Amino acid sequence: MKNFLLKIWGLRPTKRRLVQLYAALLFNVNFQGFYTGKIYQGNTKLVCMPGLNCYSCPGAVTACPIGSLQGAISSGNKNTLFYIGGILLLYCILFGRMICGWVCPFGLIQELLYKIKTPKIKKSAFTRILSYLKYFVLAFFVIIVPIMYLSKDTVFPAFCKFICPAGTLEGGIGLLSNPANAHYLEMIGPLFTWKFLLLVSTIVGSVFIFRIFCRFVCPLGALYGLFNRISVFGVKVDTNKCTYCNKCIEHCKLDIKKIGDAECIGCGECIGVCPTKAINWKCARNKSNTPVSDTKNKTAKIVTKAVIAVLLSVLLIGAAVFYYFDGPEKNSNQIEGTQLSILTGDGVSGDVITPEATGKITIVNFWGTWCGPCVKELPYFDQIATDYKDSVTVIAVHTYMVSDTAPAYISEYYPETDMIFAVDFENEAYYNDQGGRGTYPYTVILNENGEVVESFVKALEYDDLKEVVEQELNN
Amino acid sequence: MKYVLITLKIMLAVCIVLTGICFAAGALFIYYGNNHTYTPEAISTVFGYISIPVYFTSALTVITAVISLFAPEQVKKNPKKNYSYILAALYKVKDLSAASEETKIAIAKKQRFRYTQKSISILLSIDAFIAFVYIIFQPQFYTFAPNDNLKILLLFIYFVILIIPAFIYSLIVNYTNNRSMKAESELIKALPKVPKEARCGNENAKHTNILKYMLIGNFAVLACIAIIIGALNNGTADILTKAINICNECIGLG
Repeated sequence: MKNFLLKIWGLRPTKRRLVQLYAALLFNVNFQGFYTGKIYQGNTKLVCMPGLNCYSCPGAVTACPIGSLQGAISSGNKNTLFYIGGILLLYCILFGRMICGWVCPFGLIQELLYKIKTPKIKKSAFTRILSYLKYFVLAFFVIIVPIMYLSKDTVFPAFCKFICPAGTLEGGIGLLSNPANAHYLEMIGPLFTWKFLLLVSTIVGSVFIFRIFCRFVCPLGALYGLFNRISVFGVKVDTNKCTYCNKCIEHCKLDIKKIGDAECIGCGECIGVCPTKAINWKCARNKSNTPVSDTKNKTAKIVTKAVIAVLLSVLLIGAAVFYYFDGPEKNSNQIEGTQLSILTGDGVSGDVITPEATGKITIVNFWGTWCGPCVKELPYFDQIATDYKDSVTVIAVHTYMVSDTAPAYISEYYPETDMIFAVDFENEAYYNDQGGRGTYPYTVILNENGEVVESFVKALEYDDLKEVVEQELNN
Repeated sequence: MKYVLITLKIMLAVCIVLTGICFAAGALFIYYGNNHTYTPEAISTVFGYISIPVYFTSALTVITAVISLFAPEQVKKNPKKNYSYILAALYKVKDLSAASEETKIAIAKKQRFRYTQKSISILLSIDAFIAFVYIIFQPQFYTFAPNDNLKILLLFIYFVILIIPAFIYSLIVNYTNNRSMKAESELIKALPKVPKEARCGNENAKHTNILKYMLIGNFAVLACIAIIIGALNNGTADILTKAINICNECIGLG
């Protein structure tokens, strides 16, 4: 493989680079999503991948661990916290920060950018101090801020919202660059400008500074780093062989003080540098003393590599085929009618409503308790429902309730309201039928005849709603 | 190139100091020139002038950074050594019992100094962190209203009394500790090595390994139990809901 790539493209990828590329492909194997501009909505998204990979990326087939952790903290659901905490703890114990060096797709992007030939800014005492910033990001943006929003019954992923450049690149650029998602462009505001600037800074910085985001900002790396010393996989130093020449530390591009500390990403580059061969993998086997002929050894190695390559290729192709057939089936499963079940503080009531047949101007707002902007804009809809009680019907359609937080939310915040709460179908068929493309909040305005006159893919203010309603009433 | 860079760096240092002085002077000018109050109008007028040195310093920073990128790489003749790592290693291989009484006392003194300095530094850092978090969670400390000098005073006390000394002390400790550790390593280097067979490192390592494996086992069991409890009680639902819908915050729209 190496020789082939060397011959064709003049490249000599290391084993680590091949693993990184493979992991990036495997965790973003929903190739169809890049073409259709839709994200994958299957059940494999229950599982978090170990690296930083946005779950809003069209290709992503797993969930982002940091996004999920923030969601779990701010939802206050202890079972979710158990689940995500358990997964993260398992990753920490097994691999530590080795995940950053071998699996993380965003780390791969940064490493490839660093390969651009320019003068580089090397590690120093300043970068060492700066490397502590990621612990602040972890504590403040991932833990403290979501805890602060616990009492407000809304999910607030502060890191995703204000910092994460992986989300902007994979989710934002990935979705916005697709012509099918042109209507998202109307949502672009100061936040996107800020996040885009941050992404550009990260990309430019990565050209000059090795893994700028991983070293100084990444909260996932900070979390894994805490377990680096006790993780099952990683690199270790044999103190009996070590002469403390510090060549490994000098060679390493990261801000490590010693091999295997919290900054070490377990890339294993130091193994080849050590003059006394004191550094090795933690789970490496001791080489057998029985002599094996060179030819036999070489043949066995080639056969092993070929078998592994074939198995991995089969797995990747199989996954690609599986997700190709899994994606469209879910989205094309439309419903026969358009009746929605009424939702109250006690749960699904059993009554139904047809938004197209209310005989009045109908505002259908698609929302979810897990969606911060949705919860924020809901009071404006409530106000409109009260102010235009006789001429407008407001229906707040909750996404299909995989969790049962909505009734409790309604009974707490909207015990008496003129809005009608309803719940969407299991495959969010009504939402899809009305042109929804996976983005919340989404609002559709229907006229008296049940025809769609306006749709908004953004959080609305009271004045926006009032303007549309007044316009329709005058017509 | 080398001299251009040095000149630029000196200019930059001077500019940063001058800008700082301008800010302090500006703050005093507003306070005393405006009947001991900070009004938004006065702040915007005075700081409008101060923005000129800020722009100049920023431009100089960019120029210096760009030139330093293209400057030839300077190889340090004596790179800074990591003495904490070296010391830890030396303690493992050197025979401390063979040291004279004077050396033992000197080493103990250095160790005491190191640990005291580090403890004070850690305590101050914790103190500063608490102050910092406290300020962040008290919006009234950074939403200045005119004539509200008490808040400014409190902010000044928090920053000047707690955070700044903690930062300066940490820098000093870093410097003095390094010097102390260098001296300590020189003292230990002179001692004879413990014979390989007599080293108790292997025994200790065994104990450490057993502890490590126990820890790994416990954490792994804990993680598995947490995953099972979470999954069986529908803890996966929130994750799935968030993951299958486009996260507006994540893509920078929400």
